[in-house]
Amino acid sequence: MTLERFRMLAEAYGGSLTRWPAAEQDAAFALLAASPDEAGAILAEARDLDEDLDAAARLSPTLALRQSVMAAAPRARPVRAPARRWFAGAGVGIGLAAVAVAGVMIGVNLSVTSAGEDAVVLAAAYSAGMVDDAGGDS
Amino acid sequence: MGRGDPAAIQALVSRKLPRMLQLAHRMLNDAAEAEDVAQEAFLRAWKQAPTWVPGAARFDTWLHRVALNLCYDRLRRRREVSMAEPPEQVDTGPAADRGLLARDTGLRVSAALADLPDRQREAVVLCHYQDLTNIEAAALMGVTVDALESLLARGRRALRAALADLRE
Repeated sequence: MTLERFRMLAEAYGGSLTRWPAAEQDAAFALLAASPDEAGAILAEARDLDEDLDAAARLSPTLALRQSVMAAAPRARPVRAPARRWFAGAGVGIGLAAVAVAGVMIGVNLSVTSAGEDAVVLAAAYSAGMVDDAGGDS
Repeated sequence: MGRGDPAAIQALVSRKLPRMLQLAHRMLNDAAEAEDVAQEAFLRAWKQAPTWVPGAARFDTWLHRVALNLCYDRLRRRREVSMAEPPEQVDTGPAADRGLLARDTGLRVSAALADLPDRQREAVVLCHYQDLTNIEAAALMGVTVDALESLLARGRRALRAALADLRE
């Protein structure tokens, strides 16, 4: 890595090498070790701006906002599906298909994603969707 | 975690709501509008989750996209209003913020951020405040990593110039 590239990265990503693109960090650390004065001065200047930026006001969610978001969240409800209900009416086939598809997708989602948060959201949403598709079970 | 486990949803909201609120606040520099955007982003998330394609993007990234779109809607509306009728005074946030937060440096930084061109501000917000990787931020913004770096560098140079007196 050249000093010019080092400076460019500092101007873009700031004074903490750990926040630089992963692919360039090793070379950046090596350059810093090789040219501590020049590279260090570049980082120090970038860090000054980082500190200023970190002084910007931070908002925290109010209780009212949090409650409002939670109130709108999909609710998990038990999907009661006795056999007689599944074959009772005209829209039931669609509901059954939706539940089946959603169920498969949940299984797939939970198995393919390592992000627990994704699974939670999807599962919750599908759960609510299944209730609606199955005929407004409540 | 079970399906739709309320505790799990609550944990998710606890992690993501502050993050979306900060994103919107940095983009809009208005606490009330930021709350509206954060709330709306979650409402859309709850509605759209069933059609969201897992694996295409992390939930966090997807939620960022939703919130950013809402921010841009509001920025666009602001421009339309300001062209029609110039604002009488600059909004510096709710009274509680003015009184309690680091009013000098903090407000100066917020104002300097607000003065940046939208795309430069978005790049700085995503990389510095939201701590996204360059690849994630570039993908969200629909630009190359090189273009992102250019936006970041220009944005940070402008911020340094605007805040230079803080270091004197």
